[in-house]
Order: sequence, then C-alpha cells, then structure tokens
Amino acid sequence: MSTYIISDKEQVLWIGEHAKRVFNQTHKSVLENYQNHLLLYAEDGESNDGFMSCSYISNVSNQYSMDYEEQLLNEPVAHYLKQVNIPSNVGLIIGSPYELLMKVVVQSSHHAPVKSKKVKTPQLFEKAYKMTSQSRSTVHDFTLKSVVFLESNVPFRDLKAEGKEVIKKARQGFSRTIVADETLDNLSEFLFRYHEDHKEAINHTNGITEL
Amino acid sequence: MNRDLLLNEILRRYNSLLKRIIGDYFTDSDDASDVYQNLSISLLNRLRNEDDDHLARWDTPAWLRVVTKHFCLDVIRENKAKKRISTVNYESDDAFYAAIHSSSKVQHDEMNPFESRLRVNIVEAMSKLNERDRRIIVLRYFEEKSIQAINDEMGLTNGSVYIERAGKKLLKIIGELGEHDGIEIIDE
Repeated sequence: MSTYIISDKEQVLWIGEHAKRVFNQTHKSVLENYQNHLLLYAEDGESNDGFMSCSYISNVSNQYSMDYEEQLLNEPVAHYLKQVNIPSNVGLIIGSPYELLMKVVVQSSHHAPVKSKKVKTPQLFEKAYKMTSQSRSTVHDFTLKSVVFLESNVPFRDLKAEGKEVIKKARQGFSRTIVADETLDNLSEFLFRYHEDHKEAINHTNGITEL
Repeated sequence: MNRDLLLNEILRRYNSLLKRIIGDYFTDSDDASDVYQNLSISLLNRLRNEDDDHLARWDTPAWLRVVTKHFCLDVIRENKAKKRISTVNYESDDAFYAAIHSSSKVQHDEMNPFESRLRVNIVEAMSKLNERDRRIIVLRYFEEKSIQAINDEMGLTNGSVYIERAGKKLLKIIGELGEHDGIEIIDE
C-alpha cells in the first residue's frame, strides 16, 4: 500500500469499479482540485492515471484471504482505511451501494452497540473484553465525512434491497449522505461546486440529492 | 452501474457457487473451465437482453443457479448431438462439418441461448434425415448451390421438389425438438 502526502487539497476516496468509471468520465480540471485515492478489489490491468494512489484489497493477500466475501473483506478494508487515515485526511467517499467493497467501507462506519454480558469468572471477563476491543478496532469514525452513492438501475431484488440498506446505514455513520442520480455519468458539476461550497453543490447540482 | 460492471460484481460474489454447479455437471477441470468462460458470455448477453421486470423478480443467486444449470444442460446436449453426428458417414463429411460448425454466420460466442438451442436442434434434426435428404439440405442451404447444380450432382430431374420435401421434413423434426424448449417454427 502507498503512503500518503498531506496537502491542503480535500481528499476523495473513490471505491470500486463503478466509482472508477465515473472518475474517468469526470472532467480532469475539476479532479485536479482534489487528491484522489482509488480502492479496488483487484487489479484490472487498466491504467489508473489521475489518482494519487491506487490500492487493491487482493494485494494484501499475504495477510488476508482474497475471496470476495463480506466477512473476509472486513479486515483488509479496515487495514486500508487505517492507512489512509480517514479521520483526518479524507473528506469525501464515493462509490456504488451495490458493490460489496463499498458496503464493507460503509459498514465500518457503523457503530454496532456492544452487548454487555454478565460473566462470573475473571477469565471469561477478560475474554469478553478482548473480543470487544477487537470489534471496536475495525470501526472508523466517519462522522465528519460525506459519502456519495452512485445510484444505478440494478435489476435483482436482493441487490436492490442490499443497496437500500447500505444507504440507510451510511446515514447513521456519515455527516452527509448524498445520492447521485443514475443519469449522471460523471460528477464534474457536483465536484466543481463542492470545491467551492459543499452546501451549494448539494443544493444546486442537478441529479444530486442529500438524504 | 452498467451491465458489464454488474456482471463483474456478480461473478466475483458468486464465483464459487457457479464453479460448484458447473463441477456437478463437468468433472474434467478443463471442460469446467471452458464452460465457465462461455457461461460468463452467456450471462452478460442475458443481463443485457432480458427484461428488467423479469429480472426484478429474482434474487441473484437463485437466477444464477437456474441459468447455470440450463447452460450446462445445453452444453451437454450439444456435445451429445455432435457425437451422434460424428458417427454418421457422409459422402461429403467436410462440407457437412464445415457447414454446421464453421460456416455458420453466427459465431457461438455471439449466440443468445435461443440461437444456441436452435442450432443444437438443427444438428440433431439433420442426423434424423435419410442420407439423400441430408445431402440435398447441405448442398442447397449450407453450400448454397443452385437447383441445377444439385440436379447435376445428385442425378435428379426436378431437384426443387426434393429440396422442398427435404426442407419440410427438416422443419418438422426441428419443430418437434423445439416444442420441448418452447421454440416454434413458423413455416412461411
């Protein structure tokens, strides 16, 4: 994974294949206002010009399984988010709610309530404490971040439901949850305005809605 | 998300499910690998062409299971039909095989499942014709020879009658085979 240089530019994290496609269709001069990072599941053999950094989850295979399953993606995604230092660096996260990678990122913002259990012996208590610590270590604080979901027409009912659920969860973890209409094939207008004024961009860009 | 990206996402998620289903039908790993590749193309065609309202009634894994099973069965049927054809002797084997397997204007990869099934049925129907009718069909419709050329080659005086008769027989058999798959032959 790459190391990141801190600059004054706002940092944007593009997650998944759909986000990459939208990035490639967005005007370069607009993108230059941001530091853009890309996170993909696996290398696709295409060039990723324009991104300051590009990371592939499957490259962390020395430590984690490469399978594309939600549970297996949790740890490498958490590792990546820790590296990019989400709390202080990244302001905007963009991705499709129908991609598992994006789902895992959003879920890592979701603070699941920790259920307390009464334990009788110190050993059991210690074990329970360790488990709680571990589960908390994969949770990232997105409360000052905005997320843009790239909406699209997905035919299958399970994927539709899953996408809705991801968006719903994001509303609990992010300060702003924004949906880009499926008719938008690029984010040039939105990102141009967002650079100047976040509220203005959300309120006055066609096809952009804040939930 | 366009359909290419959607397929990419689905294949990643359900890669092991698809391989498991294919493995149930094809034990040879090379065969299974070929089927998986062709299945990917078939899935993309389906995603592009099938009605959204129809797909909206499905959960992704359920749809994949049904499509993959049908695809495997189609491949098995196609292989059986090829095997059956290969046991029949033709005066002009080369012409026949060239016609069936290579000269087809539609390449296999570009076929939709309907075309693919129809093609299997044509091959099967040809194997059920008698040798003379089969030869007439090959000469007329695959080698695209004139009626006069067929008359000369087959020693006929009125080839058009034989061509019409052989064509009707072929369509009848294809129609019978197609009933099972919901393919209806319209005789214009």
